[in-house]
Amino acid sequence: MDRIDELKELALKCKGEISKEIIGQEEVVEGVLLGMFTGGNILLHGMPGLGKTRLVQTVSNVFDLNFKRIQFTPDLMPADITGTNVIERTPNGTELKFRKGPVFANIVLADEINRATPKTQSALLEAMQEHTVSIGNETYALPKPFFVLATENPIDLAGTYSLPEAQMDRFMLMIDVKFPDKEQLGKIVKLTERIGEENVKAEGAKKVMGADELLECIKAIGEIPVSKDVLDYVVSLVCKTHEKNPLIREGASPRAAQSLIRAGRARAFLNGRLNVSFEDIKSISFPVLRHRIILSFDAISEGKSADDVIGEILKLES
Amino acid sequence: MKDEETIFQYLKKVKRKLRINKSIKSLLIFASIGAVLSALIMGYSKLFPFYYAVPAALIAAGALVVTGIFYVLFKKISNKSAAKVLDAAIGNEKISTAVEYMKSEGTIVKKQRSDAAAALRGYGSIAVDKLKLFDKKTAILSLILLVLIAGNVALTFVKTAAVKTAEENHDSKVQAKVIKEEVKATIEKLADIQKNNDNTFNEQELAALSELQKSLEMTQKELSKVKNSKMLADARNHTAMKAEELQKMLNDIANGKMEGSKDPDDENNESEDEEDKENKEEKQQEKQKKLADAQNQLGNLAVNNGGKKLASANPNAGDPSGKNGNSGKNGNNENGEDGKNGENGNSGNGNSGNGNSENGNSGNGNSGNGNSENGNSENGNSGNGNSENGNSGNGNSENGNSENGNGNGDGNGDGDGNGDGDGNGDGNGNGDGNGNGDGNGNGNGDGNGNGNGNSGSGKGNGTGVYGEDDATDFVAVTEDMDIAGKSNGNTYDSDYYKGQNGLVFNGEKVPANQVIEEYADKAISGVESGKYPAEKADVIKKYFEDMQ
Repeated sequence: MDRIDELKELALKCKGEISKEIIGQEEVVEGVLLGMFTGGNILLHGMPGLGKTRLVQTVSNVFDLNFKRIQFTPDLMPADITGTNVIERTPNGTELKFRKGPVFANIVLADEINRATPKTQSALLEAMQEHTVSIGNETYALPKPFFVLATENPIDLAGTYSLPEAQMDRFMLMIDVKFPDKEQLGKIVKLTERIGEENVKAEGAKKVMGADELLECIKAIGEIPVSKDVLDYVVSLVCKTHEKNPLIREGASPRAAQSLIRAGRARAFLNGRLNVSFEDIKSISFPVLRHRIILSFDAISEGKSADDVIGEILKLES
Repeated sequence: MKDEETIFQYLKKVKRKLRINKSIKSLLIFASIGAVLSALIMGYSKLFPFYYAVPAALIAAGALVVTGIFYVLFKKISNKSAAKVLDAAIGNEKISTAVEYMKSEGTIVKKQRSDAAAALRGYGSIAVDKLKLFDKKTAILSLILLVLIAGNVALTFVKTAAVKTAEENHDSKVQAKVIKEEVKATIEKLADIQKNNDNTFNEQELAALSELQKSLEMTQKELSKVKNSKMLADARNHTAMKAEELQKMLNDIANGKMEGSKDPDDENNESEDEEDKENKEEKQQEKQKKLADAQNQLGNLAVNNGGKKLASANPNAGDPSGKNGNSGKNGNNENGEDGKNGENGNSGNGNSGNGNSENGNSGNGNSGNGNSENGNSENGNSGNGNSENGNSGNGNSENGNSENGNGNGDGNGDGDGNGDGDGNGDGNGNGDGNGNGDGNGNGNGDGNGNGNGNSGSGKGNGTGVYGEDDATDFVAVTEDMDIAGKSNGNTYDSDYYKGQNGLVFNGEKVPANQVIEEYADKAISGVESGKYPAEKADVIKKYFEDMQ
């Protein structure tokens, strides 16, 4: 077995390990893993208490990565995220020293990002894009790998600042975290409250791979070949969002096509393959495109969601 | 086996099957398109006249089938197409990706290729077997083609008005072509005459022949434009009229009566001596000989298209006017014959009622006058008659026999020597014949019965080879008659009078009004049938109305 096969096996194992602590939410888990294996940032959209924080913690355990959580509030300042220079007393007197903010971690959970002010949001977004933090004249590199998992609370919107569409585009995937069904909820409660012997003895998720191996996987995934037909399919999908459609006000940006390819590769890898298929692209179209197309008033008034529109486009392209 | 070899091996198998499958489908599609095109052509021909619908439909279908064959031969099946077929069975675009990146050497790419080869080793045979040569689509295409072919065959048997019209139009064109060929033959003859002219014809005559030729070329053009039966009828009408007119022109040329030419019968040509007269006579005969074929052709052209054949000045023909005739003087009618005479033409005038020429028969034979001594009109009767057969003339003269000679009873005489038939009644009496000496020709119809008929003169028109040209001077009378007669306006009180072309014998007396009526009827029917130019129609009608 060569190294690629080993990495493939490790990637498959990660999924299994995470499912020890996260009941259901397969799409969410897959989406997060796609983000991890592509180095992309994920936006989790869901109600509070659905296990988003637990998920990110579990992921950080499985990959043995440094994890920080930032609770965004309206009074949060950019420096609270990036860090700041502070005056420190030294034997030689006082000097300015840079104190790193919580953004200096492998996995950053930006909880309720829509509650912070745009200025604070942009501080995080800059870090997401550049993987660096600029303080004064100094630029500090963020650790590798670096992922941001941001959450958005769809209720309690009073006094919140929804991320502008341009900023939404920086998230590779937007995953809808849905309320679990009855069975899943039962299992969640049993597990978290340690009801039942099996849950009492249940072990938490263990480390599967380290940061280096994750980086190796990211590199290998980046080399997975994409056939011309699949590439043409991706391009035509994105272009389709720009064709005259009464339900779409603005179509997806070129970043959407890049994200489709990257996520498609990661999905193929996670499924034990080394080539991207049409099925991969169709599967990841929803998390990649749903936050990138702006619906028209007609769509909103008809009660159509972005997923409905994406579904129609996929049918046309089949 | 190497991964690449494994992949290409399976690709080859699939390509072979794909090629057969696609070839069958392509041929079926091309054939179906051809069948649709054929059906459209056939359908069109049922609504609009199109004679060559069946061959056109077959050619269209055949062309598309041939195109299909070439398309199939030259169309290549790519590795990509074959890979897609394998992916359909194996899934996830493994083979397509491996084929596309066959030349890359990256680690991941090589690994992917290995995965693809492994998948083919496991499931490749299944994928190849799954590919059918005759699938559902092929069956449907075959059915469609069969239905289209059946439809086309059924259409072939549908007869509509358009189909009938197309057939009629085609027949008209074929007939026009035949007539055109006849016209062409005459044109060639006239061209030949002009080309090989050795001073036989003078400048005016050559110009006239050239005009004749051009006129016939116009007729040819008209015939080329014939598209339907109406146009054919019109063209035939015009051809007949023109042929009749041109015959007259040729006759004039043959008789030396072209404007500017001296009338050889003109008695005022006193300045000419005997030698000049003889030369002229020879030249005339030469002209007639040369023009004989063209005259015959024009005559046939006229007759074949509903017109009339005029007596020609053909030596063989005997000059209807008798003027030429040689006649009988020599008597040998070797050829004898007389020409027939037209019904009218009997020489009622008779012939030789005067008698018979010794030799010969009055061509008309009616001889009541007789028969030539020699001759018998076996058929011919004398009597006034006409021989039952009407041949007059068979009578052969001793010398001559007109073996043929006759005129048929009808006066026609086709006979060999005779004038073809025509002569009759119309009096043409042709003489084509042979007239020799024969008195043929007489009786031309024109004259009917007139005296042109000379035969009385025994001259027999016909330019007979041997003839002398003083036949007109020769009158055989059995009674002492005042041939001069006295003129009293339009009537003569003599049984005979000397006309322009010889003796004119009084025929049956008919009231003038009746004659005028008959002429008027003929003229008006001629106007109505388009025989005369449209601009003259009113003039003609008014003329006869004023007369009546």
